[in-house]
Amino acid sequence: MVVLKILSKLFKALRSNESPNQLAWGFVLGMIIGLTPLWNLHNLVVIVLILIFKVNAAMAGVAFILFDIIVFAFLPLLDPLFHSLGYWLLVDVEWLRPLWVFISTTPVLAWCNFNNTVVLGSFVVALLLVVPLYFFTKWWVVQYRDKIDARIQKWKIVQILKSTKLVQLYNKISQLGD
Amino acid sequence: MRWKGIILLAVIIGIVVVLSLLLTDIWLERQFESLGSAIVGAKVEIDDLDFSLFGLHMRWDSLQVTNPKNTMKNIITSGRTDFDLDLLPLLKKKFIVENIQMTNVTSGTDRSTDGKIDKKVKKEEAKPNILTKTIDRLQADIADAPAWQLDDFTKKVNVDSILKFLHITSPAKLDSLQNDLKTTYNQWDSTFAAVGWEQDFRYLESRVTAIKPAELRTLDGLQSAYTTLNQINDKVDSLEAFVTETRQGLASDLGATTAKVGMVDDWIKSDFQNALEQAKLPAINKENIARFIFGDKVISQATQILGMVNTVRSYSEKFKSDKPKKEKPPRFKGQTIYFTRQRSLPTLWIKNIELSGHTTRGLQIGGQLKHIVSNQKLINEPTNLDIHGQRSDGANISFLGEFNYLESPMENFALTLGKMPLDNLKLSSSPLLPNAIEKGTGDLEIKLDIGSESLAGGLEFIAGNINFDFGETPSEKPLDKTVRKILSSKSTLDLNVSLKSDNDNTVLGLDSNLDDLFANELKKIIGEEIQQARAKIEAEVDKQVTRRKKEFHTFVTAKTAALEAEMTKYENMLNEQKAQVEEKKKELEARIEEEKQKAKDSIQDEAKKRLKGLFD
Repeated sequence: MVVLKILSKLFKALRSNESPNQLAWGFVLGMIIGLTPLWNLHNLVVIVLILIFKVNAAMAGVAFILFDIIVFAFLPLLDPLFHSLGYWLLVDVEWLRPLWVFISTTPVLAWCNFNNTVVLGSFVVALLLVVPLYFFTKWWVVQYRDKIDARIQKWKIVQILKSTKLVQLYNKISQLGD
Repeated sequence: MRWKGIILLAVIIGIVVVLSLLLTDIWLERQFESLGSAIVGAKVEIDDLDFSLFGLHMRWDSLQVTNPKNTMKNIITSGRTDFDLDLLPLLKKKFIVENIQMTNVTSGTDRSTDGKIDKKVKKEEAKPNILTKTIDRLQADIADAPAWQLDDFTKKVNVDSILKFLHITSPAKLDSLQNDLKTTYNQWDSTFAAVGWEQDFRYLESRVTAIKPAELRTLDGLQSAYTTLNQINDKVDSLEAFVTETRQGLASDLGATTAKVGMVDDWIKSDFQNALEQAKLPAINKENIARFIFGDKVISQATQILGMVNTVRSYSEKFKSDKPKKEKPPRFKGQTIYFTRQRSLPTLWIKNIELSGHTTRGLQIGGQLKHIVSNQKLINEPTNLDIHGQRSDGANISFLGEFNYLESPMENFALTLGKMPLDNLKLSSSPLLPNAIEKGTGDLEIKLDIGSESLAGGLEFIAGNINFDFGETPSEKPLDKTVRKILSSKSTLDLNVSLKSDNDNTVLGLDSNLDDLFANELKKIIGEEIQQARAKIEAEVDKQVTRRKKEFHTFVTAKTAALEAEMTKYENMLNEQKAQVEEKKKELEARIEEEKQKAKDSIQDEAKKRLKGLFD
């Protein structure tokens, strides 16, 4: 139900007047939570940002679920990547050491666990993805609204499905998110 | 800004605060239990943990730490424990505790449930150090030494069952060596078949025989035959060089063969020794008796203590290193790198733990643990342990310890137990000391100094006024009777243990005042049986190996003799040929001299004839 509700909100948001910026920021912030280990202080900060700024929460939810699935589907590949990147930044890059010492010894910041290889590695990867993913999402939202949505609505399969009981039920469920 | 979001955030924060008030205690209890269990390797249980978020005060009503070697016992248990966490360091994720009050501390108590943990704790592959090396060597000592299996031999030396499992390797090695030698011999057979010396010698012989000096009438003919003979001589010389070289090669190969054959006896000896080791037949002497009696217990205790010290040492290294080795953490858990700043606080620092409690034998104990710290360098203090205790009857205990990781790691411990009652104490599980002490007191002193490259330790145990409990109906078996006789005759027991270890060697010395008595008596009882067992094993090894060894020697002797004979045959042919050439040479030279003389005489006669006419 939660997934359906989020999807319903997502499609609603895609077809609403919410700006592509809001949708893109929602997606990007959700991506950070999904890509990095959940129970860490930086994710609390990201959640606060989602809640207090006008970014699309449904998009953040979708991105969180999507990237969580990606991480766990490719865990044998991504875990060593995050661990190695984090280890390299924490141990091998000498000039960054003062930064890690500062973070590790500063009140509150120390609780971010950035001295953990996977937390730091995944967080850095997430930061690197912020800009490209923001612009890509923004572009995709525009494309969806201009071309894809109209085309999808014309698909025979959609027309048929729209008339089925299942879709009617789905639409009813979708209303729950309104 | 989204006001709805801010309100939602406030609601979430409210829920989190309420939930944390309700659930933090359970969560923290589980975290501590899980962390403790991972470190100890057996269940660590905390009951009724209570954490006050506002005062940062923590307490629990009881703590049980399971002994990983015996999961139905606790290493340590404690009653109510109270302490406060410092707020400001906590914001920096640093756990600083000024003082922990730990009451009702005991050790060695029974557990009501098994403290084994189901999930295997994955041990990190640490670099071997003096502690792990010593533990490995001591454990190997238990596994390998025949001495530890004495109890098997107090029953009956079952040689037949031992023989079934004997693994005698000599016959297989002999087969392999014989195949090697066969290859060498075959090469020589091929060499002799290929050289064609016999034909050469026959041809040369026919050529020499064909020269008949007596039939040669002219000097030219003789001269030509002499030249031919010289040519034959050159050929014989070159054949001689070849034969000599071949002889040297053969001598070298046969010499190597002899050396290899010489190894056979060593293999058989080694088989016998291995058979004795497999049979675990102990050598009964004074040195081994203390091991028979106390070795198992001493080594088990020593490895347990060294293992614990190694755990502490490895954790201290983990926090100390700014450039830690890359680990392989569990998926998505990562590796935590600890960063410190000069004069900053360590991640964990329990400044003082006040202990009070009692031992299982009723001694009231109290003491302090100072500076349990993640990185000693930051506070410039080692971790110290000081526990004392006594009982109204004078029994006392003192345990001092220091874990010093300021520079290279060092640990020092001194444990003294005085006037300890030994009632119902079983000192060993060996069949030589099967009875518990009924009455008596003992003094124990243990010292252990561990450095980064070596360790040294000693134990001295003196028990006085001891009586052993032999039970209502003592066994009448010869060994049991002897044990009883020895133990009844002794009212004191002295045991000295020394342990020295460095990177290359570990030496464990055990010595007790029972050793001589037991050695002499045991030799009388089971010595003869062990000698018979040794003889039977030797006979079996002999039986399995002797026939094969004889066959092998016959083969080697026959092949060596055949090759020697072949070589000698060619050498004889060569010598004969040389002699024949020499003889023919002399014959030709004589004939040439004869013909020269004839020619000379003829010239002289002719000259005389001519001169005679000239003066007539």
